[in-house]
Order: sequence, then C-alpha cells, then structure tokens
Amino acid sequence: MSPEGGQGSGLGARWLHVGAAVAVAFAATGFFAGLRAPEMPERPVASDPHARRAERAPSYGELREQRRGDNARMYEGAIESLSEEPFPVKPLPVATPEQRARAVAQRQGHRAYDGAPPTIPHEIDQREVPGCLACHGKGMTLGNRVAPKISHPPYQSCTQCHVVGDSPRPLAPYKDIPGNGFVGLASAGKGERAWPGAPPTMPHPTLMRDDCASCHGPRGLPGLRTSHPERLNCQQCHGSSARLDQRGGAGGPGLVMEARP
Amino acid sequence: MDRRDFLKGTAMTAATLAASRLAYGQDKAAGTPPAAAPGGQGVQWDKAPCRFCGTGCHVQVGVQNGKVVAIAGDQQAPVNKGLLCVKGYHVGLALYGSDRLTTPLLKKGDKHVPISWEEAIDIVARRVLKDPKGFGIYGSGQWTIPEGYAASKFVKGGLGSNQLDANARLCMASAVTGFLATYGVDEPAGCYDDLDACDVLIMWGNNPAEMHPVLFSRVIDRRSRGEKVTLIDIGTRKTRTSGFCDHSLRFKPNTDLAIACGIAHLLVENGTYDKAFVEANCAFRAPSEPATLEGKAITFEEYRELLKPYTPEKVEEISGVPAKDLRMLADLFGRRDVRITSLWCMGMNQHTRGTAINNLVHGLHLLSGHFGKPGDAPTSLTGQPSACGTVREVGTLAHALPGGRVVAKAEHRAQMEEIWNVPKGRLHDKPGYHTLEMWKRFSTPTEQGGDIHTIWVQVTNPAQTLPNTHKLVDPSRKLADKFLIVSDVYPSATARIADLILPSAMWVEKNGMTGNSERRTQQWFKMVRPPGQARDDAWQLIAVAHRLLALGFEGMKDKDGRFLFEVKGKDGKPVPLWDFAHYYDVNVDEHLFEEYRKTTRIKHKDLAPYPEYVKARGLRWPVVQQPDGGWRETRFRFAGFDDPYVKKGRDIQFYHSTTHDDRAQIWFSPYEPPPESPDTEFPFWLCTGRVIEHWHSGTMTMRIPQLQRAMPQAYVEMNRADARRLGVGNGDQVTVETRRGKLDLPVWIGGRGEPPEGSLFVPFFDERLLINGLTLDEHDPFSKQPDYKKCAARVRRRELVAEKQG
Repeated sequence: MSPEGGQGSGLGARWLHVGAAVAVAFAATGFFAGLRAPEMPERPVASDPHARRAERAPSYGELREQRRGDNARMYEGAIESLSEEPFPVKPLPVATPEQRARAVAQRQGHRAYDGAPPTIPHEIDQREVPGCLACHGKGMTLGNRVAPKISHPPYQSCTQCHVVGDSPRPLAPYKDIPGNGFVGLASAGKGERAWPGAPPTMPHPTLMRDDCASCHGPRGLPGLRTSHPERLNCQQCHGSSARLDQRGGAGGPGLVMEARP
Repeated sequence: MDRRDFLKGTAMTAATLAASRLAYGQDKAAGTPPAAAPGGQGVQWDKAPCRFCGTGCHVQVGVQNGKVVAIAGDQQAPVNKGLLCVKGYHVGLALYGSDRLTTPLLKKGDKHVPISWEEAIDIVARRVLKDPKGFGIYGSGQWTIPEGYAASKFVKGGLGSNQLDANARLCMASAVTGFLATYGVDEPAGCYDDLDACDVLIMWGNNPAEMHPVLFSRVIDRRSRGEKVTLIDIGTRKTRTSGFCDHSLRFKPNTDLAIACGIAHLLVENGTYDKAFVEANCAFRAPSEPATLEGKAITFEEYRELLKPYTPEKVEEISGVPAKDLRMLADLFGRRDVRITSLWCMGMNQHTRGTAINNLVHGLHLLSGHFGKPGDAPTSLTGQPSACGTVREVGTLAHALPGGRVVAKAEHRAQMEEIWNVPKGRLHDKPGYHTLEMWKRFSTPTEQGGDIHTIWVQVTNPAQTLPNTHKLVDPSRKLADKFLIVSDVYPSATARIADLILPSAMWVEKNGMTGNSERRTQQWFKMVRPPGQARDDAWQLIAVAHRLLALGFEGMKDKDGRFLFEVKGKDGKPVPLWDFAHYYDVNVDEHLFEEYRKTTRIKHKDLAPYPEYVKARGLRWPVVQQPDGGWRETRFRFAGFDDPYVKKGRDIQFYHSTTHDDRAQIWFSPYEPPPESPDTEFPFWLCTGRVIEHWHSGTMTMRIPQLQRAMPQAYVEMNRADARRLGVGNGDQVTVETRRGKLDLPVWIGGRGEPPEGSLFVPFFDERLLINGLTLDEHDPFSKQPDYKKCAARVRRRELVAEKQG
C-alpha cells in the first residue's frame, strides 16, 4: 500500500471521526433531552372534543415514567456496561454466606416454592408472542440490570408458565383478597459433599434447570455464582440426584407408592 | 428534592415493602410463616393429575409435615412430559386459601352459623324426604369418577328420579351431541398424539395458548425442533394464540357454520374430497322436520345441492372471511399429503347451533378423509378435569345412566337395576331437567310449576357460571320453600347465597380418579388431611344415603335389604362408611370404580382394574386385556391399526354407527342468524371466556397470590377504534349492558386480546364482577347448552360526575 494512499485514508478517517463525534453528540443530546421531563407545560386541553379524545403520543420521559418495576431504571449505567467484555471468563471469588442468603431471599420473592417458575418482575406485552428471548435467550447485562439467561430449553410460549408478578395496568388488585397459608418448599441449600473439599452434588432437580450457568454463571446472583465459571462441563464433577430427577429411588418423585387400603 | 422525586421515592419505598411481603405468597401482616425444612429433606413425592382443566397433566406433589410444599411436572406423564402451565405449577396453593370452609354452616336469618355434621346430614336427608322427586343434585366435571358414580347411584338408583345434571351441560354438551349424531358414540377418536404428528392445526374458536397451554406448547415446541406445523386460527377475536398462527381468520359471530359449509362446498365442487374414504365409511345426513338428533338420510347428490349456495363469495359475505382464505382451507383439506388436526372447545360448544357446528367440523374431516391416521383428527377439548371421565362416561346427566346408557331405554334401565341390585322398576324412565330447566324451576314458585324444591350443588359454582343468573338463580333466594345446599371448599358466589354449606375436601385431600379429553382415566391417592371438618364429597353423599336409610327411606336399600353403598371390609363385615372416622378403613374409590367398571363395556369404553391405574399415569380407553394378562390402552379409536374392536382387515370401522352399518354421518346444516344480534339499541357483540391465570370461576385460582396478582380482576376488552369513539382510555370505567343486566368494568385496550370493531370480551372468573348476569340463556335445541359467546350489548362511558360521587 502506498504512503499517499495511507495518508489519504488517514484524512478520510479523521473526517469520519469528526462526523461520528457530531452524530454521537446529537444522539446524546437527544437522549438526555428526551429523558428529562417536558419543560413545556402540557398544551391546554383543546376545546374541540375530538382533539380531547384523540390519543397523544407519549414523550420519552413519560415512557420512562410509565415503565414500572425493576426495569424502570434499566438504562442507567448502560453506556459503561457496554464496554464490559464477557470473555475471557475469569474465576470469581467464592460467595460469602451473606451473599448467598441474599440471593436465596431474592429468589423467594419471585417464586411460590423452590422449583416454581419465577414470576416476571417487569411489564410485558400481554397479547403478542412474547419477545422474552431477546434479552433472556442468551442473558444480557444492561447497566445495573441483569436479564438472566433462561435455565431451560427455549420453549416458545413463555407466558404458559411465567406470569407478571405485579398486576398489569390498568387492572388493580382488590384490597381484601383472602390470604394464602401455603408455605413453599425452601431452597434446597448447598449440595452434599462426601468429604470437605469434595465437589458438592446438585441439591435440586435438573428438570427446567439444565443450564447451570443461568444461575451459577457470572451473570447469576452473586451468592449463587460458581468460583470457576470457566469450567463448562458441570456434570463432570457435580452429580445430579436420581430421586429429584424423577428417575426412581426411595420416596422420590417418579416412584409410585404401593396401593393403600 | 422536588415533588416528582419525592413521589418517586415514596413509590419505590412502597413497592419495596410490598415486594418483601410477597415473598412466598405470604403477607407479613398474616404472621410470619414457619420456614419449611431446607434441602428438600423429608419431602414425600407422589403423582396426581392436575386439579384444573381437561388437559389432564400429571404433577408430582411434594408433601412435607402433612402439607403440600411443592409441585413438579411429572416427567413420566405422556400428556405433559414434565411440563406444566402456570396454574399447574401453583395448584398446591389452591388448598391453602385462608378462608377455607371447615365446618358445616346453616343459614339462620341473614347469617351462616356453624352446625355439626350430624345435623347437616340430617337436614339434607329431610329435604329429600319432603319430596324425593323435587330434590335435584347439580355437580360438574370436577367430580371425580367415583364421586359422580355415587351421585348417579344416589339419585337414579336411590331416589328413583333423574334430577341430576352437571356444569358440563354448560361446557361439553354440544360436543357430546356432535359425537353421537356423527359416530353414534361419544368422545374423540383421536388423542393428543395427533398433536405430535399433524402438519396443520386448525383451531376453531379456540385459544389454547391460554386455555390448554400444555397442549398448545406440545405443538408449537415442535417448531423449536425444526419441524414445520401450520397453525390456523379461525376465531372472532385476536388472542395470544393468533400471535403464533400462520393464518388468522376473523369471522362474524355465529357464521362458523357458513365457513364449514363453504369448505365442504369447495371440496365437493373441486372433486378434492376423499371419494374412497367416503364411499367405504360414510353416509350423509341433513336436519329433519321436526328436528331430531338423528336427522334424515340424504344422498350425496342432495348433499351437494344443499351446499350449492355456500360459494366462497357468498360465505365471505356472510362471515367476513375472505374467499381466498376459504379456498386456502379447502385446498388444505383437499390434500392427501398433509395431516390435519382440528381443535375446539367452548367456541363451538357454547353456541345455539353447537350440535350443528360440531357435526359440520366432523363432517369436513370425514369428507376429506382426514380421519383415523395419527395427525388426522377432529378433536374436541374439555374444560374440566373430568368432564369426560365423570359427566360423559359415568353419565351424571338428566337423561343418562352409567356407561353410555340412557334412562329412556328399558333395556338400559334393566341392566343398571341388575348391576345396582335394586328392584325392577326402581329406575325412572323420564329424563330429569337439564341444567337450565332445573334452575329455572328452582327459581319459579312451587305453585307456578317450580317443582324443584331443593338443589344440592357439589364441586361447581352456578351462581357465577350459569347464564342470565338474574333469571335462573336470584329469584330462588326470595322463595321461602326453596332450599340451596352447597358443598364447596371456599365461600364461592354460590356458597354465600346457600341455605346450607357443607365443607368439602379437595384434590389430594382425598382419593380420586378423573378422565381427561383424550379418554385417559387417571388415579391418585389422598396425601394430606383436609382442614378442619372438611370431608369428601362422596362421603357426604353416602352419609346422606345412610341417614335416609335410618329414617326408613326404602330407596337406599337394594332388593336384598342391604344398604345401597355397602362396602365389606377384610373381615367380611360392612364398614360403617357413614362414620367419617371409618371412611378410609377401605378404599371407597376402588370399590365404587370396580362397580362402575362393569357398566362400561356396552359402548366399548372398557376400563382396566383399579390397580392398573395406580401404576400408570392414566390409560386411554378402551383398555383391553391381552393374552399375556397385561392391559393395553387404545390411542386411535375406529382405526384398524390400533383399535382392537375394529374387525381384522378393515382400516376404519365406525362400530357404533347410528345406522348400524359401520358408517359415520357427514352432516349438512345451514347457517342461520343467531337468536340475538347487535342492533341500534345494543350495537356490540359480547363474548365471554377465560384467561390463562384463572380456572373456571376463579374460586381456587383467585386465592393463589401469584395468579391473582397477575390477573387481579375482570375487565372489558374492546377495539381501539371503539374506545376512541366512546372517548374512553385504558382503565376508564364503562357500563356494559345487555337486555338482561349491566355491569361496570374497567376498559383494557391492547390487553390480552383484541376484539374487532363492534365487539367486546369480558372474562368470567371474577366473582365481584359477574358477567353472567348479562349473558343469554338461549341454548342449543339438542344439547341444551347455552351460548355464552355472543349476545347484543351496549357500552356507556361512566360519567365523571358519577365517578366523583362514587
């Protein structure tokens, strides 16, 4: 490649940088301006009844206000997180008991019992084919929000098992609904070790939890993360339970009890 | 900090507090729950079919310290293969609502006061003695098979009357008449295996993504495996199911008959119907004068003539479905190289022409030969866990006797008199009142012909689910001599207006058996104790029967003078079943089932002995014993390759043919306008139905926090354009009104579904917003099933002034 050619492309790249900088500046201004509450007061309600009934497109600020639940602040810190590289996977510190307790409590908040499908902590489109896999298919980190990767094969109808944890607007729950005394099975806790230092067995079923990295990988809750996410073949060292996996065994699921009187 | 930030902060704090209370479905105000033992230690797991819909999934129930603590999908279950839906995963919570009924309650003045079981049973018995013929029992497909059988024996064998009907009348009756008119025998020929094999799935007025989610995902998950399945939605509103479909056809309510006739017309005119199949296995039928379920025989040429008016253009004009889509459907049916399965449920059944549209869809499959091969099947789904097993097979209906028998046939009555060992002539030959008639007469003063004085409701909630409740239920509550008895687990809409409430055990608090939509009979054992004094529904029936015996009522004795429900223990002595302390000394379910099993052979619905069901995750009848002594289920009825009752060498044999020549009937039925259509006064169509979170009237699911929060209240769904015209937005209160009643509801636009312009949808699960005060009690002439899917309504915006005052 000739030096002239190199210089020429260098000049082009410089202009490209300037152009890109301008574009980014515009985008950023637009973005932050959009996030702010509209400074103009709402236009006074028109005397024309048709205009009053017509739907008005919401502003970005309003859209953000409308977003409820845990995802409401999903874009905060988003830009920094974009530079974080998922690879190479690095070893993680061993979780502390406090982190673990926090993770277990957090999981309980979205589940009726250990093993129940979690409820959805954010709003969803109630009607269309859910777009859940856009974020949860491979898992995603955006700012301080983590969309965990689904722990089971990608079934198509997500809303078959997962419902929103909070009433979809505009519906509101009655205030005096009877309570429920169900006490769900608690977290199985840690797996058993044959001796201190032995790899623990899996304390829970693998049905619907066959992708270990979903909870135990680097994007899992800090208290549940494995110290060695770089190792991908989990079942090499960690045994599953035949009883919990309904493969028979005393008193486990899958065992048909003898006919009783 | 400005006002905005302050508000945000407050909201966040409130939300955090709320979220912390929601952990494990507990409210801290209700007391901190004891923590379950960790590590899954001491958890006993056992199988049971899910309590809710007619799909019949098996769950594994985890029990710890006498309480259900967890649910898992049963991986050995052929129906669901380890998967469940959100209701199934939370079915264990249905037992633990804080307002479970735990003691019998008698209405005194305007209060319900606790009484003893002895007193309660005596009251029921004395209501029978008042006039046994006017004592009705109203149950549902939520009865287990042994419970339904006990109810049938109580009413038909004991009282010698036929005043027994069930909620299935509101749900499945038109499917039954469709099967009877077409094949001469009830229930689908195919099974869920068709869903794994079909190339095309046509859903007629059906939203399985919400109503039968496990079956729906069984089909669409095939796409994840790279298989191609074409999904076609033929319905009156856009639903979650529509979103998955390759073709979504919107038709004007009631015009499904025109669509089916239009497809048949094209098949005949294009010569693409299956000539060989039709010539070998079918005959043609048309409505007769006067109208009967059998109709009249017609020739193929007459059939062709009758279909002539249903050209694609004419059908487009009637139904609104484009002619090109009709041609697309006819082309699919005309192909021999694709397998087509049709699914339907309430859309076709809750229809004043329910029998006719069921017949027409069966007819399309027969005409095109899309029948009897895996993946080629017309399959109706059921809404209740044992609509098939109990109501249809045991026959807890006003005209029926167990095993497909009918009260009108002397031969059938004689057979049941022999099985029940009751004197000849005990069984009454005149059918009792069907559901709507039973409730109408209950709500009519005795002196004006209201000859039903007492109704005993078990396992259902008619005050919420009957249509036009202002006419069928409410008047009875103002008549002093009418007495309503309700056996239930929660204070449902019906229990609250009852004169006597009996607390029932539910699901795994008792032994049980159910039968799902694919002829699969399932069994489970009692795993936990019912709360307080709640007791099995079958025990309640047997205890009343025994009380009647003690009061000298002859009907509760067989012809040898023994108690009608006598069960002998191992020592050969009768077990005092009426004493609940001894009810589980024997397995009453097994005894009732083994007696019932004797009745099932005449219609080739053979069942295996009880222990076979203990071992299996259900078996599909006919279950036929093999030379090696084993029991084999049947997946595809009438198909030579699978059904042992088909003559050797025949591909297809309709061995219960109405014409006794092994032929099924291909019906013609004309399109006719519905009994009530929108007009200038009531310009909207009103449709009702379910949502995925709630099952039936929501008595159980509205007490499950996860489900209740996800779908907390009823709403009215309307088209965006209609909302704009009315000047209402999301969440605004409107008044929906029909000629029968009115109801205030919040509007939900772009919510769960989207009706076309000019139609409304309201779910019926919410006991505080009872839409069935508005629905129509017009019904199909044969099945007597009412139409909940269409009537004329109007909507008014609730004025803001009224809002402020309210």
